[in-house]
Amino acid sequence: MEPHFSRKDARRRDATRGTTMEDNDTAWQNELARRARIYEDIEAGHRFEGTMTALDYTGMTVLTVVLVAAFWIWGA
Amino acid sequence: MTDHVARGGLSAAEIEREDAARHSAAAERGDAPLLPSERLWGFWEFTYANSALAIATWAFLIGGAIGLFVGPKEGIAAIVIGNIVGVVLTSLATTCMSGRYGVEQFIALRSQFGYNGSRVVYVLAVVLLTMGWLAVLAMMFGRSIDGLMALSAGEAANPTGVKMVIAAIGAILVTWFIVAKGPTSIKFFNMVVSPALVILMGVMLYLILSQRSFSELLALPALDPPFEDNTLNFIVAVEVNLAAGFSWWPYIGNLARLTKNERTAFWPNILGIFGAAALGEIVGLLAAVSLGESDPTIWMTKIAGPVIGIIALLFVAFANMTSMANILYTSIVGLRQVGTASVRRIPWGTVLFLFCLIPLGLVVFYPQMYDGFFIFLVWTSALNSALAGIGIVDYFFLRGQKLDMRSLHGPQQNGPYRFWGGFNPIGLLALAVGCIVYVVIFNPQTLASLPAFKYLTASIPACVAAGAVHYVLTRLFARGRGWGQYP
Repeated sequence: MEPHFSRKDARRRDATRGTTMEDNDTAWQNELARRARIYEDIEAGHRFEGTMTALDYTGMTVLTVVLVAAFWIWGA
Repeated sequence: MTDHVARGGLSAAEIEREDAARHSAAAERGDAPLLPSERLWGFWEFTYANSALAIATWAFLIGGAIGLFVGPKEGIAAIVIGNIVGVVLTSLATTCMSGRYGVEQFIALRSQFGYNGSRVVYVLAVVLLTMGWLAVLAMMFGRSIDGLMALSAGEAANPTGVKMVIAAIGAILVTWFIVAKGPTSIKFFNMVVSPALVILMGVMLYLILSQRSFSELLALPALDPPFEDNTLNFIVAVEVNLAAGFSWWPYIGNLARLTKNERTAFWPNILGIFGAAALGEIVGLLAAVSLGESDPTIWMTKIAGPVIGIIALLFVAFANMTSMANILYTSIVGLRQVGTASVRRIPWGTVLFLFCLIPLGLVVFYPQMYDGFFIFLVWTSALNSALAGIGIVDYFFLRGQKLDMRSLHGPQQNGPYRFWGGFNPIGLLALAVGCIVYVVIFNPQTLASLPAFKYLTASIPACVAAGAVHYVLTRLFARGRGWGQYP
């Protein structure tokens, strides 16, 4: 198990070993867990905003095909 | 004052605020996923940022190279076709997941290649690409300075002479110095250079069109077509542009994570990167073909005369330095993200200098690289097109657009993205297959190709082959072994 360090110890250790403070910081691990949990909640509730829909993918495909076909006919 | 003493005087609320700010800054650097509330770019902000990245001096170089293979009409068609396909596939592979989860691109890549495999991909795709571009842009700087001195003295330029080499070495060393000082100076240069490059393109286009009509320009022949078969020349031009489109793979995912959502992460690439890069390339193509010279540092002096020519060359030299600083900074920041503790221990200035050694060597010992730079660009597509295929298949078809933030950012040694000693052999094999398919169909070094190249290009089969191998082998072997947390 990772021994507990004070913030000052952690920073000193970072300076000497070159690791980022975040690697060892319990607060940082909690922060990572918090952020992951937020995304898990959004995912579970299907609350992602501005997701790509079938309309987006269709539009993208049509745009690509039209540009390729039109410039192929015009230029090649 | 030590940090300990400083924090001793803070209240609990202030310490909490300080920690929150520190965590946000770390998330911005890519250590954690950015939350939707922390992401600032909407559609137009991302479009502007994308355009600024795409409008760079390399657009003139690529446009000029297209003029070697085909005339302006076929060239414009090749630019549009190659870029739209390359940019759309690259955006699908990188920006959708970054826009949805705010995740750093190479951390997300752990789900495709394993936590050590993503490091290998980083070195192959980012480090090698950046080293090559640094050398090419430094030589372009050197040629601008050489042309400038020749114009001032009324002599003929010597683009491969000693002056060019010395100026190119100087450009790399100055870039190293600027980046070693930190990102603030780079930001300032970006704000000046991108709009100024748009103006320069406008002036160049005006000068070209004032000499010949558009219909006259379209009827001009190619400068140096390598094959008698015009269709083959056209497909090579399309392939160079596909390579240009796929070459955004290492960069746009990490920009897209700053956007508000998936849609604003995807669509601005079409307007910003595709639109801006195509515009710059078309200016480079028209200038090269109308003046009979593919090198922008030479055609600029021909088209604009001595006074505007000197200003344009000075500006191109300056703009090159900015592009060099941008890509060097991005690469080294990423290198420290994916690097081991021993890499992170190397001081910032030293790691930058070590990184610059290979571009310095290329400038001194291989200056011919500049004239065949499109060969280097096309080589990168062997890798980038395969990476795009694997990315699309993994995220959309194997994972159903779901990534596990907890596993991606947690300890990796015993996590689900450990695969096999930190490497996903399936992803890496698929990458190798994609590269091999590319080189078998079209050899970038010799331009030798199979008959299928004329109908399929090389990037598209490489992209499809890599994706197919990754899909089939993952379905067959990964789930049974518990690799990669596939649903």
